Amino acid sequence: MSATLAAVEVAGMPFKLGTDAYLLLSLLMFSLGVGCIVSRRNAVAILMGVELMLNAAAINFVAFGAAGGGLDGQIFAVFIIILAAAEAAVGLAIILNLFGLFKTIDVDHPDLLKG
Amino acid sequence: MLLTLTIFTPLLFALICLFVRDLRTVKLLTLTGTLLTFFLSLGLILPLGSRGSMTSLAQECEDTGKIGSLLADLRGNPETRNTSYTENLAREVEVMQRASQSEYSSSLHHIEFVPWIKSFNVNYFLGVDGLGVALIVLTTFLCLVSLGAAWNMDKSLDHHTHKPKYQGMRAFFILYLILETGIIGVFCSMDYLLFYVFWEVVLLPMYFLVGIWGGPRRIYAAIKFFIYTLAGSLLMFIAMLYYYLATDGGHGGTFNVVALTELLPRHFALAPTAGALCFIGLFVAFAVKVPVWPFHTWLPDAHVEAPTPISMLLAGILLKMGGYGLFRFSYMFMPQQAYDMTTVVLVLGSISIVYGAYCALGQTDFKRMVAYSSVSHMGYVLLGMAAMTKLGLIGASFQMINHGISSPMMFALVGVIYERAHHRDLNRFGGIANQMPKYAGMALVGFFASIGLPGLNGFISEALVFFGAFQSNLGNAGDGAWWMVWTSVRFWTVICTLGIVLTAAYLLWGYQRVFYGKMKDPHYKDFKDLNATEWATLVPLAIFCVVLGIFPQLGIKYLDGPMRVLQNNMARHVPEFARQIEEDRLENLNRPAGKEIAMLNGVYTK
Amino acid sequence: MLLEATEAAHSATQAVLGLPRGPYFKMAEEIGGHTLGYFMPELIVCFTLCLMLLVDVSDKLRSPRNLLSLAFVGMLAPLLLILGKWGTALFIYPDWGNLAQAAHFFKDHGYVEVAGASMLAFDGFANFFKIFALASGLITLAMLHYDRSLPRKSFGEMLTLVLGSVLGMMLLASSTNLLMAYLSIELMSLASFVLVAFKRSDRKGTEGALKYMLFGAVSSGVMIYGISLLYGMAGTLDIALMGQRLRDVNDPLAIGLALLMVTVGFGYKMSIAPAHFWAPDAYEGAPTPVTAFLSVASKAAGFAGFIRFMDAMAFQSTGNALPIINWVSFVAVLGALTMTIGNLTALWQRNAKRMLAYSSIAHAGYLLIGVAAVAVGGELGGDSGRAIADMGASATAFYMIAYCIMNFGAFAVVMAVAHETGSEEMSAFDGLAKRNMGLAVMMTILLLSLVGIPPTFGFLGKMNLFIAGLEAAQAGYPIMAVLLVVAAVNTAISCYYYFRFLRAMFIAPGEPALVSRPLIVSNTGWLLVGGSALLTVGLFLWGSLFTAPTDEATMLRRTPAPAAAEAQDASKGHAGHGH
Repeated sequence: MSATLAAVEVAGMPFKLGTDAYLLLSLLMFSLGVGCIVSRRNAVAILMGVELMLNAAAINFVAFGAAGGGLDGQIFAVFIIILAAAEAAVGLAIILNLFGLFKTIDVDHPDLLKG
Repeated sequence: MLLTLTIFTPLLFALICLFVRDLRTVKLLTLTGTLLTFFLSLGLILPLGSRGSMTSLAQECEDTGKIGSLLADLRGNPETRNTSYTENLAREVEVMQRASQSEYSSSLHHIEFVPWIKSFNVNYFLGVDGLGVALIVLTTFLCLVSLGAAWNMDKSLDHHTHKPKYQGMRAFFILYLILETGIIGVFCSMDYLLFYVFWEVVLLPMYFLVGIWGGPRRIYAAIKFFIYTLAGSLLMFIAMLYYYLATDGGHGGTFNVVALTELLPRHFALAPTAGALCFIGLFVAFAVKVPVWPFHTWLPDAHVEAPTPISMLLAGILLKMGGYGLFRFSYMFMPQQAYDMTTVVLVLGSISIVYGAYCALGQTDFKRMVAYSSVSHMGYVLLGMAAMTKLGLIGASFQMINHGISSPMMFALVGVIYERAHHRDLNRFGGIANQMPKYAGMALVGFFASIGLPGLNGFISEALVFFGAFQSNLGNAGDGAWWMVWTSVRFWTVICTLGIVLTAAYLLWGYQRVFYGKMKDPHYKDFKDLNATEWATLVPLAIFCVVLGIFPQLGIKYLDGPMRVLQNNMARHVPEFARQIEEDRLENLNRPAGKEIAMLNGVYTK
Repeated sequence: MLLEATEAAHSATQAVLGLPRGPYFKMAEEIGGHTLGYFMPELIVCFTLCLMLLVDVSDKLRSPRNLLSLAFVGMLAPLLLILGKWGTALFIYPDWGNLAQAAHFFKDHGYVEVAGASMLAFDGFANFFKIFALASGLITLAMLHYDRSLPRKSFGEMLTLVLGSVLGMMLLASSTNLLMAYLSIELMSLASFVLVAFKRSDRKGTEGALKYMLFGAVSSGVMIYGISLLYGMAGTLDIALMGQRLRDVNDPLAIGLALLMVTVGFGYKMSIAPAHFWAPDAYEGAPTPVTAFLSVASKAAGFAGFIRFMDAMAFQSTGNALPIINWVSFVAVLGALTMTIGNLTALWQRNAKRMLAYSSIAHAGYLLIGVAAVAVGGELGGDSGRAIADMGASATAFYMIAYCIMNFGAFAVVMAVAHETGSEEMSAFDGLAKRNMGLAVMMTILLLSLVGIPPTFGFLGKMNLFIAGLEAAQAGYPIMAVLLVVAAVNTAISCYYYFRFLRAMFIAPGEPALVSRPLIVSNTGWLLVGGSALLTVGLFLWGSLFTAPTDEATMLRRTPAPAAAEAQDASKGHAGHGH
C-alpha cells in the first residue's frame, strides 16, 4: 500500500506522495464533515457535511484504486459523485418543502413528532 | 377420538354461538355444550381400572398400537420412508416401548397420535392417565356448575345506576367455552409443544373474562395475571426448546412427553447445570400458576376482581394447571434435580401454607380471604410433592381435586352474598344466618370442607399429606433427630400444622362475622334465600364435598397409578431415593404405629 | 392454484429464456454467458417503472386503476418468474436450505475467483429476499389502494417510487459486491425518502422525511467511508473475496473500524439501535401504507445485505490476533439493546402508529437472534458451524415472513380505524369492539402474533429463532443464552403495550357518539386485515405447510449441503461394498 502515486520535486529532492497522504486528507475531510453534522442545526449545512463525507470516501477510492486496486475504485468514485447529486436533489426538495410548511430549515425546530 | 371430542366440543359450541344473536339461545347452547362435554369426559373414565391404569389388555394394545401403525404407514410409503420425521418417530416408538416397562406409557389411554408440524417432530398427541382424567372431569364438572353462577349475570343491576351491570354477555359465554377447550387440552396433551399451545390459549379468554366483566380494578388485575403467567411460561418455553435440542438424535429432537420422560433424566445426569436451570425455569412457570409464595401476588387481585363464575374456574382449575405441570413435567423430566431441590420446594410450600393462611386471617374482604385461602391450600400440594412418599403424593394430587371442589364452592358462596349486599366487607355483615338459613347451611358445608373437617373431602387429602410428609425421611441427616434439621421434611411438616390452626381460625371467624351476631344493616332484612340457579351451583359442589369425604376411594383410585409411576420414575433415576424408600418401608413396619400406617397405605392405595 | 400458476410460470421461463432447471449457482461461463436471463425479474420491474412514468404522462391512461394494475403486473410477473426458476413454489415447498447454503457454496466452490461476473448472485438466499420484497410490494399496492387519504392525482409517482424501492431491495438481496450493495441501498433509500414526504402539505410527513433523509445521508456517508477503507485494505469490492483477503491484513483496528462503519449503514436500514432514531419519526409521519412497507420490506432488505456481508466477514473473530469486532457478541449486544429500547419506549406511546414503529424496532432486535446464530456458525466453521448458520438464517427468514404478515395486518387495522375517526391515536381504538367486532378480533389475533403467543404464526417464528439461538448457545456461546433470556423478558414487556390495544378495543367504553356508529371497512380493507389474520392462524395450524414433500427440506434440517451429500453417498457406497 506504499505504492508511489506521484513524484514531485521538493527543494531538489524527489518527494514521494504515498497513499497515506491521501488517506490523511480524506480523514481530515471526513472529520470536518462529521464535525459539521454534529455542530450545525441548519439542514442545508448538514447536507453539506454529508457531501464532505462522501467526497472523503471518493478520494480514498481514487487513491486506493490508483495504488493497485484496478478500476473499481475510480468507478466507485464516479458513482459517488452521481449519488451525491441525487441525494442532494432529494434532500433539498424535502428541505424546500419543509421551509414552505415550517418557515425554517433549522432541524431542531419542527417537533411535531416526539416520544 | 373421545379426547378430541371432549376438547373441541366447547370450541364447536363457541363457534355456533358466534352466529347466534339471541342471548338466551347462547346461554342454552353453552349449557348444552358444557353438559355434553361433561358426559364425554365421563366416558374417559371407562377404560380405567381400579389402579387408574388400563383394565383390558386389548384396549391397551389398541391405544399404544396406534402410534406403531402410524409408523408402519409412514415406513410403507416410499415418499415418507426415509424422512427425518419418520426416523424420529421410530425412535419415539422405541423409547415409548422402553417406557412401558416403567408403566408410564401403559398407564396412558385414549391415545391419539396425528403428525402435526413434521419439521419439528411435533405431533397432535393426546392421552390421559388417572391424574389427567381426574382433572378433566373436574374441569368439565366445574365448567358446568359455574355456569349456574353466570346464568343470571345479565340480569344483575348495578347498585348505583340501576343499569345492567354486565354487558355483552354473549361474548362472555363464547370466551367461557374457549377457556374450557384450552383447559381440557392442557390436561391431556402428551406433546409438550401442544401442551404449551393450550397453556397459552387459556390465558387470553381469561384476560378478557377478568378484564371486561370484572370488578373496579379489573384492568390492572387482568394484565397482571397475564404478564405474570406469560413471563413464567416463557421460561418454560426456553426450557422446552432446550429439551428439544437436548434430545436431538440426529433427526431432530422430540416433544413427545413420554419419550422426554425417558430421555431427559439420562441427559441431565451428564448436564447437571442445564438440568438445574431447566428445573428452575419449569418450576417458576408452574409456581406462578399454583401459585407458590412469592409468585402468588397476582392471585388475590385476579380472584377478587373476576366475576363469580370466573373466580370459581380460576381457583378450581387454573391453579391445578400449575400442580399438574409440576407432577407431569418437572418431577418426571428432572427427577434428580427435583430430588436435589426438595428443600426449596418444601420451604416454599410451607411458607405458602402458613403465609397464605396468615394473610387470609387479616382480610376484611370476604373474597380476598377466600383467595388467600387458595394460596394456603395449594401449599399442601407442594408439601406432599416434596415429601415424595406414596401417601404424600396421593394426598397432594387428591388435594388438587378437593381444593378444586371446595374453593369454587367458597367463591360461589361469596358471589351469593355479594349479589345481594353489593359489598364483601366481612365486618359489615352479620346475622345472615337468620335471614338466609338455607344459604347458611350450604355455607357450613363449604367452610368446613375448606377447614378440613373429618367427613368432608378436605380432611382426607390434608390428612394424607400430613401422614405422607411425616413419613418422609427426605432432607434428614439420617440419625433421627429430625427436629434439629431444618431441611428435613418432618421439620417443616410440623410447622405446617400451624397452617391448619390458622385455617380453622380465619374460616370460623369469617363464618361467625357473616352469619352470626347482630345484623349490621337493616337492608339485610330484604335478602331472599337461595334461588334456583344458586341451588344448582351449590348443591352439586356440596354433594361432592361430602361424597369424596366419605368415599375418598372414588378419587384416589385414579391418582394411585400415576403417583406410583412418578415415585418409581424418581426411584429409577435417583439411586439415593430408591435406597431411602426401601429404608422407610422397613422402618415403618417396626414403628409403634407402623402397622396402622401400613394398613392405611393399604386402604387408600389398593 | 398457486402451484399451477407457478408451474406455468416455470415452464414459461424455461421456454422463453432457455434456462436450465436445477442448481442456480451457475458460473457465468458455465451457462455460456447467458446471464441476462437471470436478471429478467429485475428487468421487468425496471421496465414497468419506466412504463409507469410514460403512462403517467398521458391524461387518458393515468387513472389510478390502470396505474395500480400496471404496478401489480409489474411485480407479480417477476415474482412468478423467480418462483418458477426456483423450481418449486415458495409457499408450497420452499427449499430453505438454499438460503444460507448459498454463501458457503460460494466459498467452497471458489466462485469468488471468477472475476468480473460477481456483481450479483442468484442464489436461494437472494431469491427468498426478492420474493419477499416483491410480495411486500404487492401488499403495499393493496394498502395504497385502500388508503383514501392519499392524493390520487399523483398516484403514478407514488407507484414509481414503490417500484424503484422494490428494485433496490431486489438488487441488494443479490449484491455480492459492495459497489452494487451501496447503489441498491441508495436506490431504495432515495425512493423511500420521497415516499415518506409524499403528502406535501402534511407537516408531520415532511418532518419525518427530513429526519429520515438526514439520518440516511449521514449513515450512508459513514458506510461508504467504511467501504473505501475496506477497499483500500483488500483491493477488491467483491464481498467474499474481500473477506478472504482481509484475513491476511494484520490491522485489526482499521478493519474493525471499517466494519463498524459499514455496519452503521446496514443498521440504519434494519433500524437497529443505536441507528434507530429516525424510525419512529419517519414511520409516524409517513402515510400508513408507506410505513408498513418501510417497516417490513426495507428492513428485510437491510437484513439480507447485512447477513451476506457479515457471513463473508465471519473470519474476523478467529482470523486475527486481536479482533476488534467479535461478530457474535457485537450482534448479540445490538440485538439485546434494540429489543429492549424498542419495547421500553413503546410503553409510553400514545400514537398507534408510533407504538407499532417502536414495536418494529423491537422485532428487528428479535431478528438479530437469528443473525447472531449465523455469526456463531461463521465463527465455528466446519459442518456444525454451517448447520448453526443455516438454522440462524432460515429462522431469520421464517420470522420475517411471520413479521410481514402480522405487521401489514396491524397497520391495515390502524388505517381502517384512521379512515373512520381521522385519528391514529390510541384513543381512536376506544370501544372498537362495539363498532366493529370483526376488526377487533382480527386485530387481537395479529397482536397475539406480534407478542408471539400461540396459536399464531408469530409464535412459530419466535420458536424458530429461539431454537436457533439455543443451538448457538449450546455450541459454547453463553452470550446467546443471555440474549434469549433478554428476548423472553422483552416478550413479557411487549405484551403490556400490545395489550393496550386490547384494553382500548374491548374494555374501554369509548365516546358514546362514536361507539354507536358502526365502523365500515371496505372490501380491500377486509382483504388485508382478514387475510393477514387468517394466514396468521392458518399457517400456525398448518405448521407442516412449510415442509418439503420429502420432509427433508424443512426449515431446520434440510437436504445436506453438496459436500456433505457427496460424503454421505460415498459412505453409503462404502457400506454397500462392505456387505
